[in-house]
Amino acid sequence: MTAQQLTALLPFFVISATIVAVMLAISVRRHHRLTAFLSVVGLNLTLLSLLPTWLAGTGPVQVTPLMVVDGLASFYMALVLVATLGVMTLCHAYFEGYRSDREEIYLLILLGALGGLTLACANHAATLLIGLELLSLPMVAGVAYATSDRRAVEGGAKYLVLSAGASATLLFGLALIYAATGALDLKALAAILVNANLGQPLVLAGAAMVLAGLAFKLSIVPFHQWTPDVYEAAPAPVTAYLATVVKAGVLAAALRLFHAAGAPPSPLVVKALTILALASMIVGSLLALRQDNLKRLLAYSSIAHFGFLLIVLVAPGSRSLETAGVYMATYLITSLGVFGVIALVSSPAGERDREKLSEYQGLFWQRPYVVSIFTAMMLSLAGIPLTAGFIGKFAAIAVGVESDLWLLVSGIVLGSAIGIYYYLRVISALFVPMPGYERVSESMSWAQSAGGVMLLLSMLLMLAMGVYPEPLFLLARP
Amino acid sequence: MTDFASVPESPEFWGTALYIVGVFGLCALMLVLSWLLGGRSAARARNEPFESGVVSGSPEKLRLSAKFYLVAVFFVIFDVEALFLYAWAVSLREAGWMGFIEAFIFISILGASLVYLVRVGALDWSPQARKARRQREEKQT
Repeated sequence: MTAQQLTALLPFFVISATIVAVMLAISVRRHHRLTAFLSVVGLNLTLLSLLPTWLAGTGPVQVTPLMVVDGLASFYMALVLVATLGVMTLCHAYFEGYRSDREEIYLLILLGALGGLTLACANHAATLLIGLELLSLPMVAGVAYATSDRRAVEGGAKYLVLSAGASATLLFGLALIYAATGALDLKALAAILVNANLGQPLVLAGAAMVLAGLAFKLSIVPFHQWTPDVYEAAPAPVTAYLATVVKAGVLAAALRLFHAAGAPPSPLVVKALTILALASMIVGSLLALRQDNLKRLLAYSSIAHFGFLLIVLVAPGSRSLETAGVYMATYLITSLGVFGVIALVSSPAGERDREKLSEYQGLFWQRPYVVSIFTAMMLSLAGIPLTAGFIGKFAAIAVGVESDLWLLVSGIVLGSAIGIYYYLRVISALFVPMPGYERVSESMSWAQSAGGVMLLLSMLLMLAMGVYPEPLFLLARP
Repeated sequence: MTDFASVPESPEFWGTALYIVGVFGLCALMLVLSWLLGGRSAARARNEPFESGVVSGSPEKLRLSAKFYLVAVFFVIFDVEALFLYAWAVSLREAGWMGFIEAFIFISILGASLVYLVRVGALDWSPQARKARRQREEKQT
């Protein structure tokens, strides 16, 4: 291995060392703040260790046939790490009042981040699968973290069984393609997706299974059933993690699978992707309309959002890679903000998170600062101009228009139009004055906690992205 | 890809086929012969499995501690991890120092996780040890 390759792998070394260090620290002494501190320091070091390769600008560094560190990988590794840092600060605020062991959640989140990094660099079916498992298995434990809560355990079991099924489907699909063509390299697999035709039943069946496996992890209709249940059952920071880090990692791998060939996938695959995307946009938006539970509503909204995002897989090219990066970054920062607010206004000491829409009625009059952030983030999810969400949607529509994908573009427009209704329904609930409530600020403690500062920063970043998106586009350019 | 049309001509195929037919044939022969030749009698306890004179218990009523399950899972996990070392052991010379360093890291991570398991008390499965640990932890906080 050359020095260049070792430098490219530096993030992996640093985060693995962090994981072992955190594990040993827990075994020496259980201390919530110390564990959180160690994990955050390790994550920051990992983020810094991305810099040498990125600054050197030597182009793609191939490390064994399994991994490649290029612009795409660096960008998504940075996204995964930043989102993980955000989730860590939320965890610190959320689990402070948790009565049972609270240190292991950091270990699980770090392990998941390692999986995300692996997925971002995956260049081989083996790395793809390892990354996927490393990303989702720790989250099974994360979802069921509150083991005394029956609902959480049920959600964890559901996620375990369904995600194992999805991984098995993906693996079987890869095996079918391998049996027919002998390809395991992602670049070769991408070329096979481009040339797939009706004369190759094994390849088509394999491609369909791979697509189903990836669609499950991105919660695309009709593989979305687990999303609302698991989002609802998981503690709020873990939900934030599922909505951000897991999606970013899987998207990076999917992009590589569909873009590495440099040509649009075969008409059959495009047709399948279009149907999946349209179904996600419409079904996600429609089901979100009737939700009274905020976490479930956001789960359906994420289904719709990833329907919008599928457009970048249909039309490969540097333009849609850029769009995917921008959309993912804006979605990530916004979801982090939304779930962050839910995490901060809930506490694990209670029976469950504050998630019913009725519990948010008139919250503005008690927690004006947090609710202001929440409102801004909701507007961003709806795609109102001057917020980051608008930029992401605009870029997605631009790709669709450029590639003449009018069906998908009209789907995005329709989905967004429905979306505005249910996002505004939540916002209006926040501002309805409740009779009998005192108009006082409940507590200011959120501002002191790191979680509040993180939320404020992410809102500022979200607004900055919406007002001046140029730097983000430059960063996302492959 | 294997050419399936040419398979029946290879001598190994006929050998394997004969073997499979032989195995099933022998099983069938023994079952049929004992059914034809053996005497039959029916009684209340005839169909119970016989185990050295002790009446076997009903396993569905036996309660096993969940701790045993945990320990068994740990055993399986470490067993599987140890399997990877066999792959390294047979290619020790080819893997060279790089392989040695990697195996060293692998083993130390395994060791660290064992330390973690011992320290969090996942391995003390007797109720007394758990009680003592809980008291110690309460004293600390």
